[in-house]
Amino acid sequence: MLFMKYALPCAGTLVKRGNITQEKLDDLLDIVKSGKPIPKDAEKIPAVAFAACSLIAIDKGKKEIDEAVIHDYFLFNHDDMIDSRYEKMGDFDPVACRTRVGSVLSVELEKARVLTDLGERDFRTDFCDVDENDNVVTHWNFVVEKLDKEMAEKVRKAKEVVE
Amino acid sequence: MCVTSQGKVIKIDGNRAIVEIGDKVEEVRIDLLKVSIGDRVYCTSGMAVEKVE
Repeated sequence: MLFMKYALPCAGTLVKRGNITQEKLDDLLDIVKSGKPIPKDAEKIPAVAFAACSLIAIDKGKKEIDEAVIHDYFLFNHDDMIDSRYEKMGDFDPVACRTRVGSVLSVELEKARVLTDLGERDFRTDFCDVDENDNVVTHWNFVVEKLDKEMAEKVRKAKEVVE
Repeated sequence: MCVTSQGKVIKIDGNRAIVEIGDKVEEVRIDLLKVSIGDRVYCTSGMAVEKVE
């Protein structure tokens, strides 16, 4: 489920490429939002992310993609993948696609205003209930999950080094 | 498939393969697939992601 929360915000690009339909994406978003079981093989739809996470799991000696693997990829290695993919494909917004750590400023129905390194922006809260001052991960226009203070700082520092 | 390139496996060494993509060669991880020399695979960012059927 966490993998899909991180991966689905990107999937608009897959719709644009014709890999999946908007209807299929909307169905998956509803499933993830509701917490219902993910359909079999749905995790392979974001093929690149799934492959990258699978390899990280293998390298860590793990039999499955767990939270640590997902964080390793989406929080610490995703930016490099974006740059690589944008260089070759060039058909998506590489700035919007980065995962970012932010601080929740305010919460409304189904959205939150979050301060990231890009400034204040509204993000959908379909995947995650948040409160003011929470540290969160954003991806495209979604809040993906809350992070504890320690992890939030770790990710911020890692991204500062890269950027 | 949203991957970038389609190439032909020309050499295998453990969990890596040399794949011929156009007039270039690239080393990719093949942990996720069972491949043989001569197979065609979809590759992206150093990974063979799927075999071409």
